[in-house]
Amino acid sequence: MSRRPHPPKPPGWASRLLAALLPWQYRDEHLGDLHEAFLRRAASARAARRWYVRQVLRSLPATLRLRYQTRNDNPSGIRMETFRQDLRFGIRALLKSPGFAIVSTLTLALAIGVNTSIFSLVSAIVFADLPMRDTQTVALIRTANADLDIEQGSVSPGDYLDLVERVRSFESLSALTETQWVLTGGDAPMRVEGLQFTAGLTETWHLPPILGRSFAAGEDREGAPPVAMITNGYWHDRYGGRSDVLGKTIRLDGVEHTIIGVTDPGLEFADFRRAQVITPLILNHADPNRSTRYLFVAGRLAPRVSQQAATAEVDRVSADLAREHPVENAGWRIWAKPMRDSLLDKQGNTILLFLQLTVGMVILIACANVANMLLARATARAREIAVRSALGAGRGRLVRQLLTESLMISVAAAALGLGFAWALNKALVLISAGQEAVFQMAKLDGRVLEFTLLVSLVAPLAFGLFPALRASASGPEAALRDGRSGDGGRAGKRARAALVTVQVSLALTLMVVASLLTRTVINLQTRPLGVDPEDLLTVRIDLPDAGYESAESRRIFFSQAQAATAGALSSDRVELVSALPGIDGGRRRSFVVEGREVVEGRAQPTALLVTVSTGYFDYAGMPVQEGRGFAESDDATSLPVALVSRALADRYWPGASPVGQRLQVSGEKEWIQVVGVVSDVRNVADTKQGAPNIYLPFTQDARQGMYLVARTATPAGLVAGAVRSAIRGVDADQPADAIRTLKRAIYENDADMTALVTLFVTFAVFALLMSAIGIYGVMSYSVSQRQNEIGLRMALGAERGNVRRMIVSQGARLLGWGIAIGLLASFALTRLLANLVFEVSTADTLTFVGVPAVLILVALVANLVPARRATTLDPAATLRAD
Amino acid sequence: MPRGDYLGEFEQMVLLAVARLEGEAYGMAIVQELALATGSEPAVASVYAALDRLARRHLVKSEIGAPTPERGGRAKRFFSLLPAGVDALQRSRQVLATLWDGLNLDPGARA
Repeated sequence: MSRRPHPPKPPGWASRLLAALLPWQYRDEHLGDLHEAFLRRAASARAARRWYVRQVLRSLPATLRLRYQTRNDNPSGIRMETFRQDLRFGIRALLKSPGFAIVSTLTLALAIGVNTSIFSLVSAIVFADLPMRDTQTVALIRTANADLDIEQGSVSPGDYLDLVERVRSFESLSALTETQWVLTGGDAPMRVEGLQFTAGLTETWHLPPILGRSFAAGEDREGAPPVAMITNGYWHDRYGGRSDVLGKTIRLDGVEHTIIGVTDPGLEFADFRRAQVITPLILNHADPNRSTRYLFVAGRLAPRVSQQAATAEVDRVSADLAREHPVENAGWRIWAKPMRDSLLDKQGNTILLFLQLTVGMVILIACANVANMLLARATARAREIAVRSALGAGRGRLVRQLLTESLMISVAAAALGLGFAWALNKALVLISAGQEAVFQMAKLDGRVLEFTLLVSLVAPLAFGLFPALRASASGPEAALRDGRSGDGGRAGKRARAALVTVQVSLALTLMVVASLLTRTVINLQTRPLGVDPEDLLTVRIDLPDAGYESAESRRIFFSQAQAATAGALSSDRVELVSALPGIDGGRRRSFVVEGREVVEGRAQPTALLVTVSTGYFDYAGMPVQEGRGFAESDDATSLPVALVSRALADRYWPGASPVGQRLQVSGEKEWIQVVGVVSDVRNVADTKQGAPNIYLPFTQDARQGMYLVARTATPAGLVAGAVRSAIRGVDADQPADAIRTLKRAIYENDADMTALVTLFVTFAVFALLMSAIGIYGVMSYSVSQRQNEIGLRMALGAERGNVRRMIVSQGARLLGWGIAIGLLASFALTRLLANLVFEVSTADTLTFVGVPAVLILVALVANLVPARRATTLDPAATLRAD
Repeated sequence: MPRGDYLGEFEQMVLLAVARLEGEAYGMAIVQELALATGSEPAVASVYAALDRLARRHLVKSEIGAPTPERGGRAKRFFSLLPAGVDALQRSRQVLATLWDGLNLDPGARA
C-alpha cells in the first residue's frame, strides 16, 4: 500500500446525492457503511470510486422506498413532537437573549401594527359594506368634465329625468341628494341632517324599510301630501325604537311631515351616516334644472343586461344630451360604472395605493432589520449550532429550529401589533378631528385579522430563512475550532451589507414621498387666504323656505340678525358672506361674457358665486383694486352689479379692465354689470390657480344661507350662547350653527389631509430610524469582528483618524449604494404622484437633495459611534484577548 | 391471513444474516454476509429498507454504536433479532419444510 498524505475520498456528488435522498433515520449509518467499504477497497482508488458510485446508483430505488416507508409509517405525532421540541428550545433560546427578543419583537410589532391599521383603512374603503345590496347589478351614474378636472361629478335633474326616460339597460334608476332642515316643535329649534330620495330608491338599492313603507310613486311630485322616513339611528335616538312612530308628524322647515317608514340600518354608510330624516326628492318635470349638478344617481341593471351594455348605452345617451343641450352640457360627459369600480376617483386610488406601498416598505425595512439581527446572532450562536449539528442534527432540522424561533418572534409581534393597530386607529380618528368618516370606518374585522395572520406567517420566511440557511451551512468542525470565524465569513458580511443597502433605499423612497406630500400640504395651507382668519368669528344661518319665501323677508331677517349679533358681541359691525375663504366649495356656476362667443364642445368659464354684504370687503380686509366696491345704492331696484376677483379678471380680460363689462350666470336671465375687481382669496377646491370668484351684493341676491362674520377677541366658546339667543330673539325657530373662528374652521377642514401627511411623515421617520439602526448594527458588528485587525493596525502605529476613516468609508459605501438605488426607485415611483402634488415638481430639487442629505447625516452618526469605539479600544487589550 | 404474517424471501435472508452475525450485524456486514451466500452484492439501501420493515413489525431491534474514523466519523447501527423475529423465522422454515415434504422436483421438469 502506498503511503498517502490523505486517505482517498469517495466521490462527493454521489455521497451528497445519497445523503439528500436518504431519510434522516438511516442517513448516517448508510453513508458510514459505504465509507467503510470504500476505504477497504481504497488500494485501487478508481475501482473503489466505481464501486461507490455503483452502490449509490443501485441504492436509489431502495432509498425512495425507505423514504416512503418512513414517511408513511411515521405517525404525525413524531413531527408534532419535533415541533414541540422546537418551541421549547426556541423559548429557551429567546429567554437567554432577552435584548434581542424584545428589540426584534418590538420592531416587527410596530411594522405589523402600522400595516394592520392601514390595511383596515384600505379594506374599509375597498371592501366597504356599501349601502346597497346585491351590488354586482348596481351601476353608479356620474358625470365628468375634463376641462374642469372633474372625474366624479353629480348629475343634473334634467339629465337624470332624461336618463330615466331613455336608458333601457336599467330596471330602475333613482337619485338622492343631501339636505338639511330646521326641526321645530321641540324645546329649541334643531338642525337635522337629511337626504331626499326619488320614489323607488329603496327598491333600486334593495334596501326595503324595516318598518312602514317607502315613498310611493307620485309622492315625489309637487303638491303631494308631505311625508318623511326616518333613519334607523334617528329612530332609536329620538323615538327609542318604538313602532308607534308611524303616523306621527315631524315639523321640518315649518312644514308638518307624516312619518311613514324607518330605513334599513345598512343605509347609514360613510357620507350618509349623519342622515336622520328623509323626504321625497321633488323634481320639476316640466322645466328641470340642467345647469346645477347635485344628484347622486344609481341604477339597478335589468335582468340579463351586462354592465358593459349599460355603460355603452349611457355613453350614447350622454352624447345625445350633449348635442341637445349644447350650452348646459358643454364639456360634460355622463358615465356609468359598476358600483365598486366607481367609488374612488383616481386621486383616492393613488392615495390608497401609496399608503399600502408605504406600509409595505415599512414592514420590509423591519424585516431587513430583524434579518440583520438574526445574522449577527447566528454568529454568536455558531458554537451552539455546531454542537447540535455534531450531535446529529441535520441541516433541515437546524433550519426548522431557527425558523421556529423566527415564527415565535413574528407571532408575538403580530399579537402586539394588533393592539398597536387598534390604538393607531383610535388615534387617527382623534387627529382627524372627527371630520373623516373613513377613519371611523376602519375596523379590525375578520379580513384584517386574516391579513395580519398572513403577514406574521410570511414575515419569518422573509427575515428568518436566509439567516437560518446561512447559520446551518458552515460545517461543525470549522465553528468548533474557532468560535469567531463561524460567521459564514465573507458571504455573511456581504449578505448583511446587501440588507442594509436595501433598507437605505427603501427608507429613501419613503422619505421622498413623505417630503413631496408634506410640501404639497404646506403649500396648500400657506396659500394666501386673502383675509385674516385669526379672530374672525363665523356663524352659519340657513333659513328655511317656509316663512322666508320673499327676498325682502330674508333681507329683514339678516339685517336684524346682524344688529342682534353685534349687540351680543359688543362689536361695532357684523357683516355677511355666503362662502368662507378656505372652507366652502360653494356655488360653482358657469357664466357667459357679453360679446364673447360660446364655443361648442368647450366648457364655459365657471366661477364660485359669493354673496356679500355691502361692507364685507372693507371689513375682511380685501382691497378693491379697480372700479368700486358695493354701495348702499346697489339694491333690489337698481341694475344688478358684481365684483370679480383678480384671478377671474386676469383670466377672462387679460390686459384689459373688466369694469363696465357684462356677464350672465347660466340659468339666470339678467345680465350683471362688473363694477370692480377685488383681491383674491383662497377657495377650498382650487389647487392649480387663484380663485375665480364673482361677488354679488346681498341687497340684490338675498340668499337663505349666509355666514355672519365679526371680529372679536373673545373665544368662540364663550360667546356662542349669547349669539344663539340673539338669533333666537330675531326668529325663535332659527338655530345658529358652526360658531367658531375662521381659523378653527380651516383647521377642521384641513384635518383629514393633515392626518394623511402625518401618517406618511411618521412612516418616513420610522423608516429612517430603522435604517439608521440597521447601519449601526452592521458597522458595530463589523468593528467587533475586526477588533484584532484594528488593534494590530494601531499597535503598528496607525493613526486614530485613519482607522476611523477606514470604518466610516466602509459604512459610506453601503450608504452610497442604498442612496443610488433609492433615488432611482423614487424617480420611478413619484411619477405616480404627479396629480397629487401641488406646486411641487415630482423631481423637486429640495426633496431629491435634502432627503439624501438627511439620510446621510443620520447614517453617518450611526456609523461614527462604532468607528469611535473602534479607535478608543486599547490595542494591547484586544490583542491579549485573542 | 394477512400477508404481514409471513416473511418475504429477501426479508428472510436478511433476518438470517442478522442471526448469523450474532451482535455484529450492521449494514455493511449484512451486505457482505448476503453477498457470500448469494454471490451478488445487494444495494445497502435495500437491506436498510428490509430492516426498517422488520423493525416496524417488531422482529428486529437496533442500537447505535460509536462513530469510527474509518466510517468518516459516522456511527454504526447494530441490528439484533427479537423473540418475534426468531418465531417468524421458525415459522417460515416450517411452512417451507411442509411444502417441500414429499416433493421431488426433477431439475428439468419446470413447466
